[in-house]
Amino acid sequence: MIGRMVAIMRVSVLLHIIGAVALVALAGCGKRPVIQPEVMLAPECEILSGPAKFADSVRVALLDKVRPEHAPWARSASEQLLFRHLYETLITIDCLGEVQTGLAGSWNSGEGGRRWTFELREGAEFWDGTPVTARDVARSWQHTVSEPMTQGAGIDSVTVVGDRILHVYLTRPHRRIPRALSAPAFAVAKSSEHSHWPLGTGPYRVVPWGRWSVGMSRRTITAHPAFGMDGPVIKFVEATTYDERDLLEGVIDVMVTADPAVIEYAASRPQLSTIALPWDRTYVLLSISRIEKLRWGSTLGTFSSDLSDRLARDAVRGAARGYRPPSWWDDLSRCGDLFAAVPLFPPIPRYVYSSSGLHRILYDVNDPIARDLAERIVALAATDPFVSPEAAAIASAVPGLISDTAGIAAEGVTRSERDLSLRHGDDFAYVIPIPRRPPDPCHEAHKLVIRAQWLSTFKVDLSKALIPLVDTRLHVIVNRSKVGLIVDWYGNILIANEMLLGR
Amino acid sequence: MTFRTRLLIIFLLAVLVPMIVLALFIRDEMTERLAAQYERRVESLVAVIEEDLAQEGDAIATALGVLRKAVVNDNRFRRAAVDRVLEERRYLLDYAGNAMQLTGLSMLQIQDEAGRIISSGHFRNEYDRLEPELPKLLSSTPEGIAIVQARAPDAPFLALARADSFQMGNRTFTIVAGVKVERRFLTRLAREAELQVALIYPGGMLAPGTDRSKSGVDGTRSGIVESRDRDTVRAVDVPPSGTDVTHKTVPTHDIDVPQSETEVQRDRAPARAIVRELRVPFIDSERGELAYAKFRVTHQLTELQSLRSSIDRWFLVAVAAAGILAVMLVGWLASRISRPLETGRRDEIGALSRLLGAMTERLRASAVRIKDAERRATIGELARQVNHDIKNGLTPIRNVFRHLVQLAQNNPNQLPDVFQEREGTLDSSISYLEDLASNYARLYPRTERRPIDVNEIARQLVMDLQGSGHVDLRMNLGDGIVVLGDPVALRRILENLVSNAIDSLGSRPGRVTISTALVSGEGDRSRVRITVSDTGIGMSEEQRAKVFDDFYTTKDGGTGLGLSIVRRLVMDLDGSINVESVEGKGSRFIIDLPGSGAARPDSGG
Repeated sequence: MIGRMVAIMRVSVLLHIIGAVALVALAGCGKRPVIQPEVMLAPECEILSGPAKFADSVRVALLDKVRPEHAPWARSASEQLLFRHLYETLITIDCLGEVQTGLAGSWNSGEGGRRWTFELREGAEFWDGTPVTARDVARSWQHTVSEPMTQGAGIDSVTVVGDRILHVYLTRPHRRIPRALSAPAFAVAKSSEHSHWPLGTGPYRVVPWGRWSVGMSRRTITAHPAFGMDGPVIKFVEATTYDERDLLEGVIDVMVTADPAVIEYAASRPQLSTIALPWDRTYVLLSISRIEKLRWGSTLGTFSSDLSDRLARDAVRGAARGYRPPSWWDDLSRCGDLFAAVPLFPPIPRYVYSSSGLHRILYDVNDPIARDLAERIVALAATDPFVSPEAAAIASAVPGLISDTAGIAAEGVTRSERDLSLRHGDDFAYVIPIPRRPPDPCHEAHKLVIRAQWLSTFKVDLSKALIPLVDTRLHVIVNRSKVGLIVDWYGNILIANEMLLGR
Repeated sequence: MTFRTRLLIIFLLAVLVPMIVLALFIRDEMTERLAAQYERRVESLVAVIEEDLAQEGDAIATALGVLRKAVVNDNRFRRAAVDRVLEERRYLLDYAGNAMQLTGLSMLQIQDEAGRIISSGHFRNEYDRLEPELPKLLSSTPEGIAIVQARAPDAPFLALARADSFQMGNRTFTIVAGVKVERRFLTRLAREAELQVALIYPGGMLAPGTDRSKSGVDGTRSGIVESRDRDTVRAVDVPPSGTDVTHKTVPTHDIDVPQSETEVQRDRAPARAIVRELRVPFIDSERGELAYAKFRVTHQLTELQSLRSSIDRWFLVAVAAAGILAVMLVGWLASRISRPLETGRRDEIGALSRLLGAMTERLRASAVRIKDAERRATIGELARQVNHDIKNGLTPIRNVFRHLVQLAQNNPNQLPDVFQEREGTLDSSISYLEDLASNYARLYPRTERRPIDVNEIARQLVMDLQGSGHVDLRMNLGDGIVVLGDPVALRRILENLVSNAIDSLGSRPGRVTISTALVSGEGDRSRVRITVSDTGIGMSEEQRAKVFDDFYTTKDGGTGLGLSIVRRLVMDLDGSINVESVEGKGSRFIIDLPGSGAARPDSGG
């Protein structure tokens, strides 16, 4: 009896061993022998745990038009959402601000922190299977490094020293790894003659390359998990002409929005979850007259937090809160001379010597929050400051806002028009969003100075020049039965797959 | 003036004058009637605009009524506005915007009893702004309606607005609602392309096709192109008590019209538009006071102008055509009247015309032949006589020379004796020929001379010639005009000259004057000057040079001997004759004869 039992056990064990070997063999078939990046995902960054098994496909709404020729440098929120899935930077910063590996597997510094050496992760390859080389990284950054806007990142030059090793030389020493390299501007991509889309190394890849599929009157970009990883197929659906609420009726599974009406509607749908993303933007008022006065030593007021809260509560029809200090522009002393990168003779803002009788407050016409804030400021300009604390505060903060001779108007213009006006200082004031949590405040401050070069004329501390108004954030509406979500430092969401979850 | 010219003038006057009068009458009548029609249209449009405004006001009032009812029943609004629940504040702030869109209004704001804006549809973020005077002023207007300047984030706009109020809890709220007054609104009021409606308000003007001025800053651009008078504009005033329409003339400088536009208007006449105005209350929010704006209705007269120009053009064409036709017709008619009778006709008239024509031809030919024959006969007879007389005188001379030649050949020694014998024959033949020549020099035999009363001969001649029809025979006779000579010859002289003078007049009326006078002559003797002048066709220089030549004539069928005979007769009387003439004006023959100084001259019987 025992002998029979032993024999049965032996056969059972043997069968299990055979089965395990068979399973291992089968598991090895069809998978590419890719070395996965080491991803250490903080639990806090997984804002939504997905189902145990990845869904076959997930539909993500793109509420703006996306253009392959912009890749990998996003120009809209939808492009940012898409490109984040497709392209990688050398390093990433998680939602807690911790630096994580990206395309680079390791790094070290030298020359007192002026040189940083990156070694690309082993087995890193583009979607077409070609390995990513240091030269690819350097070529990819060629445009970025030469841009004045990115020169504040402190990158002086890049040297390729091997197939997978490159030196990054900085304009000033960094004790820690330059976090600016995690910015989307430093994403790595390679152009392909077979595809509209540059080849990337991100957790997802566009398949088939370069083609839009058109179905059901909506353009769709299909992205598969890269490197044979397990995960859902993402269908990015361009839905610019649809009412967002209609999309929530089973058409899409993930939508990022700031529209309070849509958020409110989603709350009524049981299958949907609405998750607030981090406060990622602060809207500020940039007034030439204020900066001019500050230059001459005037003391001007600003918005108190109470007033700022009222602004967020009443004026802004979106997810907003009153501005919460501190902010990264409060102390930029370690950034050196921010105005050094500006031409020798910075321009005088044209508004100073223009004779137009109308004061314009410009905003991006596609930015409803900026519009609400600009209109509120115009309304406050016509409100008696003796009866309205808000009016009194804004009048104190912005010289010339209340004028007997000049009218004031809020005007929405395209982003490029606004930026052009901002560059030359053509108008009275601007309502612009700036990142609330930039990876590198000095770089961000530098970018702002480049955008408004006349700031260098007055050389006023940004902490005084800017009038912070409100903080805003986005919300993601998601079908929680299908999707797991990860968020990064920039507030970008990522559809979880095996690679991202580090499984 | 020829017959044709007279005919042409009469025809033109008969046709053109009535045509011109008719055209002018039509033009003026048409202008007046059309202008009157346009005025009526403008008047009726003003009335329609009043009605439209009233209807718009009623529509706004209806929307306000609906809103009032809805808001009073809105619990969330109550919680926000009355209970001041903070969670509902956003609902309150958005309320007016949603309500405005639903009701189709362009302006909507809700204010509390202090005049604070608690919700604004057209300017969402102007909450908490105080504007207490707006609803008060609106309520003070006659119909409760006015044009207001509403604030907006980008620029203020005009709206036709009214106010209403409601109670909620223990609070009173006011709703101000309105529709935008913009170019489309004005175009809709105008209804027709020829009519234009503009809105003139303090600090600006709004008209289709013009830019609205920023209030009080940029001035205005006029869309007006009128006036009826050059320097004034008809304006319509609305008495405060109602909307009756009256006329009032105001100078153009009271209306915001740029100088250049006014100057252009002043340079153009007649009027180019008809204008009427309708006054409406206007709330000047800058100053917080009630003023007035005007709806100005303008009817362009360009159509009338072009119609008038077209009539003028066609009128000129008609006049030119009538003139050309008249000329052609008259020319044809005149030529037809003076044309010979048609000989191609087969009736009695044709036969008669042919017969008359043939007779005329024969007579004409006969006269020519007779005159020619007479001329030839006269000349032939004279020539024969001269030939005969000369031969008679030459024959003895020839015989003597033949005898002498023969002797010279045969008996030259007898020549002197024979010549002496025949010398007498030669002398007598030569004397015969001399006498003959002297006789032929005077065609008449010499007559006796006696004193002649020249005036009496002239009077008799004139008396004989009286009744010559178109010829005015006059005499201008001096005293003591007596000459020595043959009265017959003198009468013949005067007859010839007067006859020639009458002939020179042709068929035209004219004057022939016989003048006599004593003029001073050589020594003590006076001379008698006889002048025969006429207002005939005159003579050219060439004709004057040959006028006394034998056989020279300018008349058809004339012998050409009249004036040559006259000259001989004058010379026979020891006188002289000269002629002065201006071609086309007339001629004057001047005869100077020696005066007689004798008693009782002969009158020539």
